[in-house]
Amino acid sequence: MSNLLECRNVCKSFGGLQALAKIDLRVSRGEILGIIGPNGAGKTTLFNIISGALSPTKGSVVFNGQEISKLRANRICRLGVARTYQLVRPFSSLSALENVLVGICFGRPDAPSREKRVKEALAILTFVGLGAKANQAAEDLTLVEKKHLEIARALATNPQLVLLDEVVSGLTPTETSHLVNTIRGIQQRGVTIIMIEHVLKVVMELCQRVVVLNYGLQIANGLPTEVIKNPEVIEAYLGAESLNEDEPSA
Amino acid sequence: MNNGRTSTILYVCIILLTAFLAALPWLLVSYALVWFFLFAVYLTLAVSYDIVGGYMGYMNLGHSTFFGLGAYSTAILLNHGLGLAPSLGVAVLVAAAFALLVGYPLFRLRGAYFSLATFGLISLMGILSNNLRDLTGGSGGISTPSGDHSVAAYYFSLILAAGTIVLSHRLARSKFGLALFSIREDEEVARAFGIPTTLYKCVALLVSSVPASLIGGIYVWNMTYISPSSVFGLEIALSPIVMAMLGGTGTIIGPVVGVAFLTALQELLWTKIPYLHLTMYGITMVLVGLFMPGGLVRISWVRSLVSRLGLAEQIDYFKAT
Repeated sequence: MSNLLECRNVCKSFGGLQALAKIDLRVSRGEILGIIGPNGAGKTTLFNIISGALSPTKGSVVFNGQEISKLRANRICRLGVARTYQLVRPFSSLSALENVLVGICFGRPDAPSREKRVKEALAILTFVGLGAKANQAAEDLTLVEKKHLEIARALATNPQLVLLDEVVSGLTPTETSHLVNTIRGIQQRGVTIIMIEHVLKVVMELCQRVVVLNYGLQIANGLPTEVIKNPEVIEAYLGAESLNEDEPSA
Repeated sequence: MNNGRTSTILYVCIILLTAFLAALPWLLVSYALVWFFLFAVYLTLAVSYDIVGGYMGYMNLGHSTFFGLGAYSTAILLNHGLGLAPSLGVAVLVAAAFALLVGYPLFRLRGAYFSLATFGLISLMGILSNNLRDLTGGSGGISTPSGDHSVAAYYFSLILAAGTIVLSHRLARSKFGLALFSIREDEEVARAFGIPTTLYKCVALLVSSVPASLIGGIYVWNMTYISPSSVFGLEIALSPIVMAMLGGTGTIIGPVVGVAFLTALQELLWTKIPYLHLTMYGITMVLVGLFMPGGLVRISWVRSLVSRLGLAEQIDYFKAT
């Protein structure tokens, strides 16, 4: 089996609210999978479950053949799953370098020696274009720099799978294309990526496959070009009326 | 930057200060010895408090319970005829065991709830020491075998204070220190990036309990008398924390500055207005919160001076060359 990650029948309820229902997801090694869906569809909840911040009400998550849904977040990180946050959460008062060092020192099964750590952290910062800002406090960085820092911190853990939660939201077109290049670079390192994204252009550009969630249900799964033509997806995004208007013309 | 010269000045100052402090017993009246002894006690407590309160961001108002436990354990063992060293050793173990015992449940709380719960530990220990009469002597307190230890205790306390500062400094530059900083910044993210937060929080509390319990033991050995109100009272509980906050938590130099400033001020007020000096702590706490939440060392000109001396942990930690 070449599946890196498998979600089997994953359900999550918060009290009476069903946030995720029977999600089945297979991610193969090296691919970029996009997850799209309207607000409140359960996308971030799915990330929280995969990364161990939440545990599923039912179902299982298998990473590299190992059941991880009962493990704590710190264990899952060491197994090779790293993430970024929709609303950036760098360690504000620590420097960019220290932020990355946290990933290097704690996010791997075995941390490198003291000198190697700093050297490697600087290399990762340079990869995301923050080499010159290593000693700046994370809180003094701009939004796009913070997003890059979050990616750098995730890469520092030597992950096999990276979960990117709306990394390009709120960025200008130039910043977005820069970030798209960074994400391509990550894939070329052999890292598998799952990305939640609202900016469809980016999804079309990067993802080999797209999964669509709506009200916690998986309503589509396939090639980006096919998925966006799926009537159910259009209805979820734009409403039923727009579907009726659009169909004759299309 | 003029780093070479300023750090030379710093080293010279440290050497002169060490020589002065070492020679003090032959130079001055015993009152100064007691004053410096208490200074070292507060310094040890403030710096060890800051490991949990400053580095990790968990305001542990019950830090003085380690001091009190250390003091009581040492007193009881000294009275049973044990020497100072084994008594202190057991005292450290007792406080460490207590740290582990309360650490696990209390670290499930955060922010003000954690502070409030740890504050409750002080009255818990106060009630225990008042009521376990056979062990602690109750509210009448406990006396240890008399003898003049003031010079030895003076040296021990200064060495311990210096050792605590070195410990805190080493910690701030270690992997473990980095983990504590990231727990302070965002605990959930820290866990998501591989830090076993519950374990590390308990270890940090354990580490901070060691200097506090040792200085408690030395305190009772020197003073030869303690009572529930003297070691589990509010003054010993709040002073070191106020001092650390006034100086600036999360740095090494902060608590040192705060302790020096407040003990000197206290000395003045003590003689001028003996009954209102506790009010000062309250007022200081309010004023610090209002006007300089970062403490004295984070005022901009002090900060630049401090970082030129290479003493600002936060700024200099793991600096890339």
